[in-house]
Amino acid sequence: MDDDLEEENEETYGPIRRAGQSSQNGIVFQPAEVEDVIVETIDEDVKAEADADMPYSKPQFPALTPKEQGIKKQMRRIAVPAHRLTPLKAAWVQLIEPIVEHMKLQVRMNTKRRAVEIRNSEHTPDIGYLQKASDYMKAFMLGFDQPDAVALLRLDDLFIQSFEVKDVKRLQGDHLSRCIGRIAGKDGKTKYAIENATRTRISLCEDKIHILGSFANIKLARDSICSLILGSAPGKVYTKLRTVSKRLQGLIEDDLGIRACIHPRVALRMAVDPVAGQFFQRHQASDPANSICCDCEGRKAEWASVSHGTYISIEASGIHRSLGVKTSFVLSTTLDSWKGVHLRMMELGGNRRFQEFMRQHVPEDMPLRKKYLTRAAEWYRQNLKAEAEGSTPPAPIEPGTGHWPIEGTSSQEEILDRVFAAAPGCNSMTSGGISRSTEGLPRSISMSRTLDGRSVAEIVNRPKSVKPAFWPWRKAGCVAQRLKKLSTGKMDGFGFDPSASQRAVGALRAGC
Amino acid sequence: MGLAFTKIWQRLIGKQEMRILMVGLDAAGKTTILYKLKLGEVVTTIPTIGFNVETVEYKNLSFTVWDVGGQDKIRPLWRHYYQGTNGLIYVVDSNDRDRIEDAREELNKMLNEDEMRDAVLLVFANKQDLPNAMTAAEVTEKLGLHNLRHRQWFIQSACATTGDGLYEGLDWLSRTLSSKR
Repeated sequence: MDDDLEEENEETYGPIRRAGQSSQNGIVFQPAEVEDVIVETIDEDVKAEADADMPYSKPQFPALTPKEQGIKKQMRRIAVPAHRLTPLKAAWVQLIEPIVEHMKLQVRMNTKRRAVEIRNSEHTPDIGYLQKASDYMKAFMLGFDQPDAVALLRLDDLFIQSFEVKDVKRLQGDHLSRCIGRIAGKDGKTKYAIENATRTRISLCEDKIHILGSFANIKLARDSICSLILGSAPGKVYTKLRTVSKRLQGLIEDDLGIRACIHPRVALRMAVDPVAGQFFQRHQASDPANSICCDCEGRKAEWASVSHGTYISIEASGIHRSLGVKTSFVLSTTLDSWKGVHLRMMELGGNRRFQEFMRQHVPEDMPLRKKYLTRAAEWYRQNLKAEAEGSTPPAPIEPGTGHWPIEGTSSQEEILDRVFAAAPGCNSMTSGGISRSTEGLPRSISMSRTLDGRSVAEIVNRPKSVKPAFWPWRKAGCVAQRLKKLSTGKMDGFGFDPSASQRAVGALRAGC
Repeated sequence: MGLAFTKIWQRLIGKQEMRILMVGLDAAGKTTILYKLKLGEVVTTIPTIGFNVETVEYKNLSFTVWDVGGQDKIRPLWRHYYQGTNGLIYVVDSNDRDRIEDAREELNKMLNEDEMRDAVLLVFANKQDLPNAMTAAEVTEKLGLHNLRHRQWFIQSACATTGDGLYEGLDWLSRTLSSKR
């Protein structure tokens, strides 16, 4: 009887964990023994790798679409104050671009009600976007610039705080005007100083003050504005801000800054362009050809030639960049932010389409740089751009002329051709890679090669057997002389020196 | 006495160390310029993720040039290099008319920073060899350099692959920095 009671109690008060006993859900409860618990700090990198090595993978369920959630059309209306009407008109296109293109919401200006109306459509991937978009619009109405307001869409930890001068101190008439002037400073100098030091954005609308930033930063900005309202001299506030900004910088550096410099992978993880990220994931998954470099087989493609809509490796991207931005515009799929039209070009293009087209017109063994400077490649670029923009496509190329070089290329092409012919990596190049002696060097240096095929690492690392010069300034002149020899004198240059102009003004005044 | 002698000796033959930060949008030609200065040769470069740093002895100055990657997402890291910078080299791709506005924004953002208050500015309007490149005057206007007050600046058109124009730019930098001390 007693035993039964005990058992009953056990069942009612939750699962008791026993070794080797499985519950109804099939989960095995292990006895928790203190000695077995090892607390370790695991580096994020290590953790990620460990996850990849596990024999099983976590099930992944796609997020429910608004349709599946059964959410119908919703609308948000944001009133436009009279003084933001003209700025709204001026910035309308930029303003709605992220909302319409990335968030797939529908926007209109209701002139009768003087309000902007945003509603979701069937294409909207996440209903939360509606709230985000309305916050973004509201920020613009409060007087923030569009590029600042866009930060609200990109980052999750940004807020806006609003308060009035009256909340801090009851000021009237001239006192109030002076106080607002104190916050703004001459040409907005004080305001900018506060913004820069605390990494916030401040909007002043008469006696209303709006601050956009992260929670901690808003607090810092608010404190300095309050002390200005209470009557501190701007100079005093500056000094305080300087110490604050130093401390802030230190914190951020500890956080990720320096680590990011050392570990490019950390920098990569910092990359946040969710829309582009999702697009590339989808696009590369849909066609395996998009995951490997278009120019050199077998390399991972994390870069893109937007002009051709192709995915390329970092080594090939070096060659593309040497062609100039008009021939090949290169962006990173992880380290750059993408415009809608550029994503559209990638969507329409893709590696397979480009490769198939080039196979018809250009011999396959043509060196890479030459290949992209042919008529066929140029036609492909123009056509892709026209398709993405919806303009008229170029006239088709005459058959048999696709492999001809295009006219009007740089006079320096030969130099670059020779340099890149010696580079490791793609097609015509030797598969060099990184040699042992250069392992410690940053990748970009160790991969680089000079005209005669020596790697830069060799030159930089070469033993300094040269005797120290007796007249050091003579040796130091070398760089200057070498550069002077290269100069043709055709390149123009000019500048401005404020101290010289002040001196000139001073002399003029003295003369008067 | 020894110290005084050392100081005089240093003054005579010693080098003044100058910290130079070289930034600009991606694919402007920063790394190519850096190695053209250092080695006098054109190198094949790949996008810089992180930074390159080289010391270039120029006349009586010793330039430590930091070349920092220019991709959109790594531009926020530039500010970690601001402290103690004597000179800023801003490299612009004269061919890239579409993104000159971005270049202007990034430049202004940087010049507004408190730590860059005293840095002199040298702008290289690079890639002049390509057809239809913007001239130095055009780049000046597009970057709004004429609106800069309290800042010593100089713009120089250049072509990093041949090295043309680099001498004039560096010469201005060395003259300005040595007269500032």
